[in-house]
Amino acid sequence: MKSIIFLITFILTSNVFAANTKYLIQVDTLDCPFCSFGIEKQLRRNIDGIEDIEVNVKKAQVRLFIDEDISLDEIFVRKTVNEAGFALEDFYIIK
Amino acid sequence: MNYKIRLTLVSLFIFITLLYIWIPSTKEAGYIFVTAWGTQGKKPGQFRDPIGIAVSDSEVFVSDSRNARIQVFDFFGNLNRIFSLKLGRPMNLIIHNNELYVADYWNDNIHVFNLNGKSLRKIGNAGTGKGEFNGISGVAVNEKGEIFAADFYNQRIQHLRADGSFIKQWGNTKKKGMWAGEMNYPTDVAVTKDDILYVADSYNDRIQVFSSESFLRKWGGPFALNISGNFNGWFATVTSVAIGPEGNIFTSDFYNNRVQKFTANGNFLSAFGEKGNGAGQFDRAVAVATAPNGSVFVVDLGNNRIQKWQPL
Repeated sequence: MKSIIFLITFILTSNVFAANTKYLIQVDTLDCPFCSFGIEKQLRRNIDGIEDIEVNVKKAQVRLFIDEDISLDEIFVRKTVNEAGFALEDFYIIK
Repeated sequence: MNYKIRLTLVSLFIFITLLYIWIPSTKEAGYIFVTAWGTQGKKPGQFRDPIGIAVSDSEVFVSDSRNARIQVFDFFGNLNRIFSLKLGRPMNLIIHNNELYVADYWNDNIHVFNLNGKSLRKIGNAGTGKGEFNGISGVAVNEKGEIFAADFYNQRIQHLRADGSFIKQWGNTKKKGMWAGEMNYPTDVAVTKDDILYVADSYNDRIQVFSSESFLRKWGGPFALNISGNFNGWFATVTSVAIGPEGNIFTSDFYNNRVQKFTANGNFLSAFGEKGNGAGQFDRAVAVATAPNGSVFVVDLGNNRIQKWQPL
């Protein structure tokens, strides 16, 4: 019984972790709501497979949760961020 | 020596004259804090990034932006109703002829509701062409029902007929600028009964004023040329503009955490607010609206609440 529960838990957990990849985008500044909504809008429009976006206005950071089958490259992200009126300072995969 | 003293005195005179011109003194008694309501959250009466505000004879309409809904309160902060019919990010909003015009930043349109929340029509769509929007942030309606829209990423104000067809625009599409008539991410508009248009030219730190035909004036810091500051009459990003019951102009001075009040010609009258989370303090004042009785309602973005003030 224990092994069945463990197996189910493992499968469920694996699916959760496999469901998306998390990227962190650091931009120059992001402390006005027009800016944060603008960058969210631009990212959602230009990148397929976005499952969620978290914006930390005070840290000027955007966390992207994306379908694991889709990968992002820095040049594309930089262009998208620029189109939203910001400058990309850093970009990396968290998981 | 004489020359140096004379030069110093002349410089001092010029400096004081400029200070007098550019840093006006308070001209009226000002406002007193009455009450505040709201906290951060998704429950009724709570907010996540409230952005815009409009006031009817008896109610306050708040665009609760990240919750994608409009919340309606009485003048004491009691919640009357909520509506959220397919809104993306509702921003500044206005009431005209018992209809609520909501600038929807994500859906790039103006969503019009009746005051009970029934969706009536949508105006505009995404793009850079005539009658199209890229991040619409504010809306105003004149007596004829014509619409003025702050088209944020397109760096322009559009003047449209009631059906959304294009009349003209102020500013150059997708090209920001700081000279008269040019825009730098405009966020809000307000129009008087005689068709004088006031624009919150947000990142130029100024208000610009237009007649139906031409540019009239601008104010905000020296020469109103994108110089920010926290002196009287200066701005640090002006995100909202509203016309008071006596024709005065109210502005939300975002990073200065205050509201500033001017005459219709841009002469500074008074200001209220300071940074903080206590009574009468703001964490970025993002929008302002006035009631017919002179009360002023302010959206306190970072504190996720609405504040009510009244004249002293």
